[in-house]
Amino acid sequence: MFGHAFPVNEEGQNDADAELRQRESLRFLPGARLTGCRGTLGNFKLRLESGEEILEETAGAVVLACEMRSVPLFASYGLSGARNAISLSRLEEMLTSQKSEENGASLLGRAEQIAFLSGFAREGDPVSQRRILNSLRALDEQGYRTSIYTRDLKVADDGLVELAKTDRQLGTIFFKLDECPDISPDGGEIRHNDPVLEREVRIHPDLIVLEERFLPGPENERLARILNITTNEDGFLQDENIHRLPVRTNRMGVFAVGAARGIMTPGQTRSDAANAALALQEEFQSLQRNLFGTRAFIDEDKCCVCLTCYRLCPHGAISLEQRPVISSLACQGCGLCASQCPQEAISVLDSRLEDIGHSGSERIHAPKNAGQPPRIVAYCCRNSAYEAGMAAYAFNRDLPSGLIVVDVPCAGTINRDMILSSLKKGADGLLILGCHFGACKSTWGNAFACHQSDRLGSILEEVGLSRERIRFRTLAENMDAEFSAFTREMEESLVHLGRNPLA
Amino acid sequence: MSAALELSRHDLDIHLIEKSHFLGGQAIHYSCKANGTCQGCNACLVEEQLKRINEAENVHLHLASRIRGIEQKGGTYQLETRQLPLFDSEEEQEALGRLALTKGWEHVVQRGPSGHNSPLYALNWSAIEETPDLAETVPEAAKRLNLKKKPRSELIQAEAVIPATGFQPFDPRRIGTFNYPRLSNVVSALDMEKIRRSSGYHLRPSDSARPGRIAFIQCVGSRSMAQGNLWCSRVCCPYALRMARAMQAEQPGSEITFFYMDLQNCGRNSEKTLSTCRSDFRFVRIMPVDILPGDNDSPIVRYMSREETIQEESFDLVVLSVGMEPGPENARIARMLDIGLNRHGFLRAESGPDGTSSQEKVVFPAGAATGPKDIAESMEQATEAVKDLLVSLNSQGKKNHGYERSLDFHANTGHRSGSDRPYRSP
Repeated sequence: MFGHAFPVNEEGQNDADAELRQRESLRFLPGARLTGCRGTLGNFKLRLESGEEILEETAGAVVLACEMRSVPLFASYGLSGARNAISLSRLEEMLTSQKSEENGASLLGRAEQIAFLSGFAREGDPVSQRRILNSLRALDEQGYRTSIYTRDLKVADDGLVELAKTDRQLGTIFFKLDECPDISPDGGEIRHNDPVLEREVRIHPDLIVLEERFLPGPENERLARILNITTNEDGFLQDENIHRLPVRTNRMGVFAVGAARGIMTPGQTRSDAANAALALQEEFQSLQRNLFGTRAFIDEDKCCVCLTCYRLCPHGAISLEQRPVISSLACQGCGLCASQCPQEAISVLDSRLEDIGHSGSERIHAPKNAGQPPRIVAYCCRNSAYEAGMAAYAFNRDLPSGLIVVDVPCAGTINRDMILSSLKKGADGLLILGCHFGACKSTWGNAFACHQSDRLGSILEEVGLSRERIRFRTLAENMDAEFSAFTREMEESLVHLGRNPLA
Repeated sequence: MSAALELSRHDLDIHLIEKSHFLGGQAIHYSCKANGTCQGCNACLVEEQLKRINEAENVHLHLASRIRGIEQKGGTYQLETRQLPLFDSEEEQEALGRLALTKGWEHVVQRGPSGHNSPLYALNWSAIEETPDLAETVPEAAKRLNLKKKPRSELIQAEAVIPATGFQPFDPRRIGTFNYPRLSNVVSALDMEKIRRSSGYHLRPSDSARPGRIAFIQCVGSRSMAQGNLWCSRVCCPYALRMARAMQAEQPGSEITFFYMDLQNCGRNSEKTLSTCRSDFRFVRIMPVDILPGDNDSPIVRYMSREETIQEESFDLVVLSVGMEPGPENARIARMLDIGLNRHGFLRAESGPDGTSSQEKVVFPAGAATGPKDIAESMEQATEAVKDLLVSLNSQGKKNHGYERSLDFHANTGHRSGSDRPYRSP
């Protein structure tokens, strides 16, 4: 499509197929380890180590496609000492090697009764479920007596309901239990009180096949550190923020596909590859767009190189040369750096942002007579609350007549000066409306806003005003009903509190 | 919609053909499930896409347009559509807005589910047709509307087609013993989404009270031999669990029971979500037999307990987690485009081993039209379809970005003004 790529394989495998090898735009680096990464989208400087050799490569983007690994769960089922317990992977190996042997000699030995256990030591998943159901089918077809003990069949993928039905017809017995059955430590007996048969059921399996747990690739932790990206709770290389979907990470220009970002079906992995290719293209197209769009600039005369912005940027858009440099390609214009810069050295080029603190307060000019409704300035995140507010107006929802809506690129951009100047100009109350926690496009912008609002509340208290005059709430784009409810609630409590005495 | 958006970044002309007056499909009706913290339902992503579609200059919207026929002529598709009249001028929109607030006329106007639906108001033509002498009784507000406007035919040419006609939610009336919708407090999950969207709360329909005892019945229309639906709809466990969590956040102390077969995973970070849900809610692994009327409009759920006795339990509200079925027009669309259906009736992606379509058929089905998918999966798969489409155009010896071409989509829902803009032919 464009450019050149150099696949890095840390495990040193040479598994690319012949056709790919012929492509001139691809250069393979088996056995190289990523040990350093500087720069930003469009201009990453990667440090790679291959044996003694150290390579410095420049890359526009980084795509993470690490494999995951699976570990057997013998201990979780108390079967560490059982000789008849094997992992699902081991069974699959046996079934495959069985196929390759022409006489069909069975490596499964003289086993007759085979029991599967899954879903008790962990929640299952459709990827494992398909493997289990396929194995059961293969065994059923060879005449084994099979049973499966599970908590929930994870059938949320194409064809799995039918596959389970086939297995049942072929003779597999399904026990769906809320608790793990009693298993003797030698694996000789599985016993449970069956809720359907209403009696104790004991079976004596010759072979027990156990589920496995999927773990993120062994290098994930290291890669996340080097690339400065956040992982999810399980350690996969994409956090839970929905704005990363499908293949982005919190750092612009770093993508995670397939097993790098979670447990994926082969279909999803293929789809991830397509998504990554088109997302890459989009990033580079955004160069043109961003030249005229929103982005932040550092005034070098004011900058004291404190590196607050560098540490703070949620998109990894700031690199360190002699001093911090904001990448115009990676900058999302959220303005967090500008709001936190102690030197006020950063400005965000954004026609709408310039209005903040000015237009917000300029629009407060109602005469101060007692009969007027309270004046509320709502600072609304453009990604969520502002849209909810606009929808509330479009739908003619019930809204306070003294409401002034100010849109900001991220709730995290509000700062003390903005708030205080609004109060001075006569706002009776201030609402800071951001995205729900975990769904902020700038990762921690809403947390900043929440914290900021709390601190400002304390300041208000110190000067003898109620901290109720400033509130932080979270909203989503489609919450116009809630927008109306929040603003009305605010109005009511302001009616109760009375006029802002500072005005 | 996702596919159109993805394509809009390329130098292509995209025609988005939508059957309804409003873009966004079923998903635009969904409410946010956050309880202060995002629960990953992705409903807001649909809003965002709708906004971006409105901003994309090379996406031409054809709302309220039904496809009457498709002809393939030497590498291009000719789509004949019939479009119901839109009232998209500012003046007409204002008139419709006022009409929507006029007593006795509310049903004549449809409003888009999202603030990004543009135009926001549309005339409900079936209500008009039911009242032949409407023109004489029309209130002042509607005087400016020409109710005699006629549908018009359009001929759209395209080099490739992406059918993205979505799914059909299972109609719970087909399970007669559930008494839907005869019992007002037996609702489908989709009904509940709409109640939440419009009121901001999960209220029970009969008295707009906040329900304290709620039952969810899973697999309504999924995994059912009786209905012939031998698939898991994938989305119902996640959406029901998220909805239940949002309800509990809204009304602490509410008791929630799930009647279910197998609990499916709930998006990302599923392990943790499910373990919280397992302790917060009660789970009964059984499919209830029937739902009966009870006192105080509270439905009674009757089911066979594990001890083989018949249990009756009363709930303030029963939510039916309805599954996904193939769209009603799938067969017609497949016939017109000469593509196949899978054995369940969803559109089959006709891609070859390298993901490209055959030379003759430049058709790339996308989204839930190809099988049950959640919002994120639909978007991902749409991008994949776009990739296949671009590769296919490339492999036909035409350069990817070199010149203008025209592509075509049909989505299920829709709009924006400017439908009279001239189309550029390939």
